[in-house]
Amino acid sequence: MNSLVLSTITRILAPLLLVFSVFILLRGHNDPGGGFIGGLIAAIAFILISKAEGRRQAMVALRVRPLSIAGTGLLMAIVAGFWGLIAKGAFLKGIWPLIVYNADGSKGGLPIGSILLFDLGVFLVVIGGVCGIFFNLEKAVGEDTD
Amino acid sequence: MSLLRFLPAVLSALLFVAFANQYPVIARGDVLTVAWDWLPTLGVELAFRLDGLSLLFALLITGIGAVILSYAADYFKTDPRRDRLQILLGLFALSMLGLVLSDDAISLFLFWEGTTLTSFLLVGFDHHRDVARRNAVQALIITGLGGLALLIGLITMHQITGSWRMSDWNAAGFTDHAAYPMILLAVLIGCFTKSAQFPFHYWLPNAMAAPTPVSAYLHSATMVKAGIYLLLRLNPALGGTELWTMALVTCGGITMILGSLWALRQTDLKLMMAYTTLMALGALTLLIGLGSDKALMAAIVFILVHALYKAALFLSVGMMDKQVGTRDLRHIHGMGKSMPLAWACAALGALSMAGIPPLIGFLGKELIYTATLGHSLWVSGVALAANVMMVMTAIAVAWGPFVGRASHAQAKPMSVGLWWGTLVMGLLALILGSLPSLIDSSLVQPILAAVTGREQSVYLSLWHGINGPLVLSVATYALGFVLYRFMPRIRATLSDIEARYGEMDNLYQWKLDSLHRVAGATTRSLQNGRMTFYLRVTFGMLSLILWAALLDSPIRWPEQGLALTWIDLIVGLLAVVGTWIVVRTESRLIAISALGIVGAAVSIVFVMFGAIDVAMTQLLVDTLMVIFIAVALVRLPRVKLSRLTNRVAGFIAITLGAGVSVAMLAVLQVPMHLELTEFFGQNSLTEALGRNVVNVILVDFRAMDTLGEIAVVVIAALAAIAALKSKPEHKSV
Repeated sequence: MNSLVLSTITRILAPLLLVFSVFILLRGHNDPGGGFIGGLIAAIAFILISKAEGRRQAMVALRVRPLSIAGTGLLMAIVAGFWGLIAKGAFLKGIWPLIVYNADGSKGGLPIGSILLFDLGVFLVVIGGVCGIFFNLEKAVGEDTD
Repeated sequence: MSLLRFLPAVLSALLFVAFANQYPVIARGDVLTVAWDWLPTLGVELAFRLDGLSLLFALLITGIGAVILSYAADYFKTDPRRDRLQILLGLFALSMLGLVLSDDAISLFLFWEGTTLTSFLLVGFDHHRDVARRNAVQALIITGLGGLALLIGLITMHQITGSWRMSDWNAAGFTDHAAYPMILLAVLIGCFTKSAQFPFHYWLPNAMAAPTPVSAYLHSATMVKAGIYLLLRLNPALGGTELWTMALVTCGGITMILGSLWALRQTDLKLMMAYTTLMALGALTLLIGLGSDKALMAAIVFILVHALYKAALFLSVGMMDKQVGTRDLRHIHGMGKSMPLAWACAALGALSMAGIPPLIGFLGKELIYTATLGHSLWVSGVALAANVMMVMTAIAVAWGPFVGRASHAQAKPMSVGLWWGTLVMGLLALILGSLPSLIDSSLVQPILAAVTGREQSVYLSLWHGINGPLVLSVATYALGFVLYRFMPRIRATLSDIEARYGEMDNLYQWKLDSLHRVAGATTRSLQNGRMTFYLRVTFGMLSLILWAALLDSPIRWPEQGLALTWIDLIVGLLAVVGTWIVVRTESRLIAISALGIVGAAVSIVFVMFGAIDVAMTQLLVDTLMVIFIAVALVRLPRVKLSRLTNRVAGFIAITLGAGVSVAMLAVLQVPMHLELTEFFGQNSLTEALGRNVVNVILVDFRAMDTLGEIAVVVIAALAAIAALKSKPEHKSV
């Protein structure tokens, strides 16, 4: 598929989508969003690249094989689970190492911990899974001839 | 050539000695028990019990096992598969030992299946031969199905008594229980398949595809007697009724006649032995069926008699095979001088089989005649006919190959491992026959006590004076010797009959083929590779189940009408329009796009109810779905869907949709429990530091579910990629 409009738009849109997907991932804990939705948006960004510039280009942009990404994501989620198991004695228990409890009962510090690692795992699994299926579907259909 | 190959035989011999050591204990009438908890909540134990009956079988298994394992070690001296054979034989011996020692029915069943499996592997030992594979599967199917039937019987007996111990069952008895016919049927099917009784007898001759030592051990001396063992074991619990007698005597009698008659037809000596085994098993079943103390005693003695002579005969046939390279009785004669040892073994076995005094076979036959004469004339007639044919077979195997003009110039020499055990068994038949007092009160008596469930006193001797059994014995010899002269003619007649009417084996094959045909037809019609068909079946079933559940009780409609705002109506209209386009269009691309409209409408509904996360996910998934299908559409053939399939699909869609709607409305009538909602709302921020409750549930409260879901995503991706890659790829230029 060679469309000047689409590839021009993609050059602007794909990076924006990727940044937006990370934003969605991070805000998910307090506002609508999260790993699953973020992952879908990121996957759509790569699919857009694939449609505009070809599957090869999209795979170059992804840098790593989709299934490796999915596998890494699953591994991260499991590691997050064991983090809770080792630190607090329950599998998948949330761990917040950078949260500081102030004297007046309020909380400060950075809300980063095992939960974010878990959500990041979900994010990667979705990207890898969707992109993996899509690229192979395109390959099997034989639409791209580049 | 190390001596290590005799290790299994030595181990078996040691076990034999260990069991023989318990002989005095059992002879006193004591019973040894040992039990470990296995599944305590289900009451299943690993319980073992050594009484007379178990001891007899244990001695046979380990004793004959030692002989056979040593024989096999030399029979397969240079064969690279020897280790495999010995391991399998060892596994079999252990299963069989477990079977006869178990008191717990579940342990018994597991060991029972163990013997079935090892038998399957051993029959199919020459797995490069089609016949061996086919016959192994046949043995597995028949004995395996029988095992399942047996399991039903065992479980039923457990349900009635609440115990898994067979000793408890024997104490309780089931003959008056309403479920007795069913239990009996199940147990009998199990025992009859295992012990190759009519109408399941045909697998046993086919199992002769196994190597000779295997046939001698499993399919003559031990495994096929497992059914007989269980009949004896459960005799106090199930035996003695009219039904029991009728079933056992009929099937046993038919098997007996069938086996001995068909033995005459064989020219392969090994097959001949297989059919005489059928006769022996039939005789045992018949005797157990008669049920009198005399008959049971005859059965017990005959088990020992048969195990000794049949193993000896099988092994001598194997020796002939090794020494001159054939076991066809038409091609081997006059070899007595060149293979005296094989002759000696065969002669001892055959003399015992023909029931010539003073071998133990005579004792067995006399006891059988005593038992049958005590019952009825026709049963005695059956026994007489079978025994006459046994005499003929015995002459055929021990006389024909060894006398007359020599058929082969020379015979290959034989190693000690092959013949010592066979000779010992033959001599044992002679010694025990001459001195029956060695076993009567010390072995047969406790067995009889175990089988009948009360104290017994047994006295065996060779000479009882001139009486009915003796007259029958003399008649047996006379008829046997006379009829042997007509063997070739009888054989010709029998093969004629066989050619004209076929065998039971053909019936089995026909049933198996029919099963394959039905399975093939079912698979072809259900798994026809059309996605539309699969979806139709899936959704059709779903709709059926849903409506069945809905109509099971009166449907609860909402009490007040639904209050709809104009926004609701617009969104609903949007969805309806989308659906209408999907249904009416003939272009797939338009259909997919219209489906996108429906998805968008649904996500608007989510937004209206405040589920922003769900709406976003729905929208994104819908977008992806359209892209995916659009990619795949390019390669789909451009066909117009016929109106008929559309109508069927439409009907299924409408009923399913209506069913779901009705179900949802009914759900609304049930008061909602809001405890979970409140819990998550209260604790989301304080415990999990997140304001977005949905996401907090996903990644923290119910993170385990999410972990499972993303694992599914990975697996689904793997499966989809594998499926896509398995297609022939289109080459890009």
